[in-house]
Amino acid sequence: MTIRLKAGPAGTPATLTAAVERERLLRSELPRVRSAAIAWRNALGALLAGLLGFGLVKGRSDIGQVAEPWAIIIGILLLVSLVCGTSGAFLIVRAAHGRPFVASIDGLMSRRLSDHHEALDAARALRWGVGFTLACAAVLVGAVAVMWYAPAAQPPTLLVTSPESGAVCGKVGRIDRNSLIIRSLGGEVAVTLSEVIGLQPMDSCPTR
Amino acid sequence: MDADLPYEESTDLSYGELAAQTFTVCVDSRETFLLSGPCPRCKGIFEAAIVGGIFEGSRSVASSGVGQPGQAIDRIEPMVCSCRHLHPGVPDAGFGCGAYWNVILSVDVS
Repeated sequence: MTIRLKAGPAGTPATLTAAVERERLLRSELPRVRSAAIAWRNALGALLAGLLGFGLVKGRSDIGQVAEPWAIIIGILLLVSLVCGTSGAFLIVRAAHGRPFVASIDGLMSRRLSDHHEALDAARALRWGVGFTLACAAVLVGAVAVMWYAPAAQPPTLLVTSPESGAVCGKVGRIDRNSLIIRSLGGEVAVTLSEVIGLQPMDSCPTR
Repeated sequence: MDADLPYEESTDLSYGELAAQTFTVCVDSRETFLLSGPCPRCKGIFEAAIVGGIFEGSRSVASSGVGQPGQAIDRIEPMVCSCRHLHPGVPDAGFGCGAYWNVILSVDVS
């Protein structure tokens, strides 16, 4: 690359305006990026804090109550949300406060240039950080929505043995006074709890 | 350097010619140019960064680049004295001695 400097055309008031404006923009560039990052940090922090309001609305909160494939989807969504949130927070803090690294003095041509480069890097980190944080919020809302509206998990299947009713296999229906109601293939069977001598969880009932 | 020279917004064709002779140009790995040298009027040393893009609010930061290999680009760059000396009569938030001029930055990417 060959660089040469030559005399330019006569200056005009527009020359002065453009040169002064460029100088002022460059001098204030890094502080402007930093203050923009702090403003975004506060705004997005408030947005994420507002999402905690979801906890005030009663809904399903135990992932074990959700049917199997949906529970896995919720887990993946929460993981993606965590990664996005962590990345977004890191990038926005990096934009607002810089990197805690020591720069080599060899490659430093000018404080003005290094500040300009830092401003560009911080602006880039800010854009990515805002994107990641908004994605975190969106995925988190999606995870809560799936948690609330996904089909419920099936009740556990038990093989209950008692002297009066023998071995009964089926899904747990309810507990009615001292009896456990089992929904077996043949219909609902009441097993007296005090008579139970065997209780075994099953993946599925054996077919006869 | 004439530090007592009063601030005056002035220009002259000779300013550009003097700057072209006395200023040095450096370019870094990010294609940002740094012009440094004495002001043609007050002789105060200063440096000016010629950048492709600048942060302005939340707008995207763009770079004009330096062109394709084999292509010479002449850019007219407005310059203003931004030496650190506080010249008499400098306005509030102002800087330098008030001299301004144009230079042509010729970049040949070969």
